[in-house]
Amino acid sequence: MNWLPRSWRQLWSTLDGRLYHFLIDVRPWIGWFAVGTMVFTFGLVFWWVPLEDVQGYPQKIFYIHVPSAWLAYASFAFVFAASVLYLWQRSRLWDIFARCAAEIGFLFTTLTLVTGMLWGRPIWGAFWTWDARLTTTLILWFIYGGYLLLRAFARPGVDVGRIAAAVGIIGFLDVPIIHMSVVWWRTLHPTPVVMIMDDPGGGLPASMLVTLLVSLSSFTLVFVYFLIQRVWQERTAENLELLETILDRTERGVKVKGEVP
Amino acid sequence: MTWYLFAYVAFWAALFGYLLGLSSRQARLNRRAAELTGRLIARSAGKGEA
Amino acid sequence: MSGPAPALAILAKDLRLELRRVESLATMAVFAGLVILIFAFVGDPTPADLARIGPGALWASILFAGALGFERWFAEEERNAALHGLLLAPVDREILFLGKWAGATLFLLGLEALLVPAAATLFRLDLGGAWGSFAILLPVVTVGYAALGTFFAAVASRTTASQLLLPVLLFPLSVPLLLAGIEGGQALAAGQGGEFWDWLGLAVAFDVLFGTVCTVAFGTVIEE
Repeated sequence: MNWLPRSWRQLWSTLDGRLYHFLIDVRPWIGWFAVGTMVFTFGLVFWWVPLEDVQGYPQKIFYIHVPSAWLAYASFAFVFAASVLYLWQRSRLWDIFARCAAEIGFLFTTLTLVTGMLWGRPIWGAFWTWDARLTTTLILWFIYGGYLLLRAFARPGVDVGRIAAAVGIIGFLDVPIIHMSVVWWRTLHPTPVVMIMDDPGGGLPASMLVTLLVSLSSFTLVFVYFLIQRVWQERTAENLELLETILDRTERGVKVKGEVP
Repeated sequence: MTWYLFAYVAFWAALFGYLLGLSSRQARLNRRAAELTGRLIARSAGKGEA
Repeated sequence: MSGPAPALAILAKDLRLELRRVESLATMAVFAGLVILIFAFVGDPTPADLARIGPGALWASILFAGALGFERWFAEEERNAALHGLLLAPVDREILFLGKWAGATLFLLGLEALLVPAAATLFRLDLGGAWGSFAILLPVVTVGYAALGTFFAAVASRTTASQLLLPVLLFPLSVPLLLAGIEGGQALAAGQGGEFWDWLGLAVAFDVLFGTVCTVAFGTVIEE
């Protein structure tokens, strides 16, 4: 950011802080709004949307599977963006964002895999097929599982945020290449024919499309709430840590050296 | 029907599990904050008397 | 700024160390041979199956043995704080990485010089005239894998569980290279030249992208 004029940098940091505090302030509202839309979504899924003719009930898994997959991919894009911003600006907030987004993304990747398998069992007759999308999602799950393990196993005294940011960037850059290679791997082989769900929107009746869109937005709200809440908790935990060190030192009569942020 | 219910149960379990984790973490933070605030107050009170 | 000379010095040092005590390369070769042996047990192969699993067994053994090697070659620098000395030297981090990367590539190629004939014999892999094409694919995949391996060895060395963590981080990200190696080899065995060039192109693109990214990102990881 150093190439920007000073006044611009000040403007950016003010907006940055304002936006963060605004999000923290409206957090409970987002949470309750998410609960409301979630209840509405499940009302639509259970009582309103018609049963699909061919698949019957298992098709309803679609309304939680697709939004989970969307959030999984979106949160890893978020990890990438936060990692780039962290390496660039070195502000603790971006590191916390990356870590929390990875955690929530891992949760939703797991849900994508689990709901996909539970859909595959009645429709394909098997929990798993080595379809390109399934394989990519599984590899994604391993990449971000590794990312979280790396953060958990950091050696004390090492700034793990910086290392994790590098891994987050490399992992994200690798995902399209992995997907391409896996697609080639599958299509160059004679594969058993599997029934693959139609594109959402192509041939999908209006009622199902509406349900899917409502579901997508309510999931996104849940994601936003989770993320803000987690980031706020991590920030608070760090601040409390700092307060404790200061208290410990001053109570022992040691003067606190250096600047207290 | 059963698979579909399984999927929804798994989904709700994961979501509530995560929420439970969030709130227990929050409770821990609140406890810690209260404890530290107590120490802070005790310290400034002590200073006032001296 | 510093020229390429320090990278060559690091490479020469790594080679000298390795050639003086060959035990890690020897252990890796034995380990890779065992992986090949285990693949022979997978699926109780008929002669036709042998040629089909052959490339997979070969690349799996390189993948696993490589993960052992990367960790060790990097741990070597951690011993006696040799890495601190390197970091204190007025040398760009990128140059340091290039030196380590070149060393890892050469070691892996040395390992492959033993493994390829072994796998070809044991799995009756007969590429005939296509061995020349395979000799292009092999180093291309190896260079990319060595870049990722060296980078993640540095990452894992910053944790308390480097031996555990390195394969966990490295393998999922190496999937395109692994597939390029296996599928490219199978395409050659089946006499499908066009597919082979697709896979080779993928591996080259991977090398260029991640060679660059790992070189640049190495500094952030290793910085104190």
